[in-house]
Amino acid sequence: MDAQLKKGFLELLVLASLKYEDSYGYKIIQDVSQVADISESTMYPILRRLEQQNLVVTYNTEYNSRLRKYYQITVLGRKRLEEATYDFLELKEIYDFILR
Amino acid sequence: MIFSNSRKSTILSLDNERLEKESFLKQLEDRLIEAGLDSKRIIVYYDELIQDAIESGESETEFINRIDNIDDIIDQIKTERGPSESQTPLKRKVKRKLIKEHQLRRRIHDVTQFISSGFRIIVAAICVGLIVFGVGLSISGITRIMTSVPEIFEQIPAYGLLAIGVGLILIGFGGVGNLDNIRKHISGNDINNQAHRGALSGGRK
Repeated sequence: MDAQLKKGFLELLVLASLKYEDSYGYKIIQDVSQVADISESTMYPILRRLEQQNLVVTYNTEYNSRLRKYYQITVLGRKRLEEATYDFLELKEIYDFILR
Repeated sequence: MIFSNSRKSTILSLDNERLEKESFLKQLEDRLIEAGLDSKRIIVYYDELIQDAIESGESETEFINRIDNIDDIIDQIKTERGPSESQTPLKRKVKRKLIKEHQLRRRIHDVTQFISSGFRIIVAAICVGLIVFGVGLSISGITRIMTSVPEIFEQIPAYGLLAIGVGLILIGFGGVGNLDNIRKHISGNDINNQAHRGALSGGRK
């Protein structure tokens, strides 16, 4: 898959993994790994970018006598996911045309 | 006993793993600082990942081995860093300053180590040199003393002449004394002779 396309999908997958509950780095990697090949080092820049684009926010919670960083999807992040649905429909038409 | 040994091995294993994690994070931090990247956030991210992996039942060693190597991590961050992450001139300036400080500290550390090791070698070399010089000096001194005894008299005949002179003077004094004794002896004989002659003459009278 094209690197840029994959990067876009990975961002959406991360947002999708946060759709129903807040999550932390290790768990997000585990969830996304079920559908896409992603490494720990690939995940960091994605999370950082989503945070900088205000698509997710972070907060720290004490867990096992240490702080764990949680990621929470923002309203903007949810809007981005909705837009992705339309993107998917558009993409589907493109792929349907390519594969006809 | 078996439980005890098993526990010991577990503790040792945990210690090794902890060292590996610390070593990994330290190496990563050094490389991130060198690359001018936000080291603190990335270190916190990987530290947290490793701890979560362990708590989920993964082996720390295996997890660290599974993570991309440090070069790849840095490449990923550099290449995937979007334009939104571009820094302000002030941030860039501060970061450059921090990088320079870090590099300077590292260079100072390297130079200090090099100097201290070089200094130890120089001191050791000086000590060896001094020992060799001292031994040589001692041997040459002894040889010089042994060979110079005749030379002294050859090179400085005045001392010899002086000694001869003094000797002669002493002989002279001794001779004078002897001469006096001889003279006394001679004069004593004269008196005796005179007395003898007187007695003879009186007897004749």
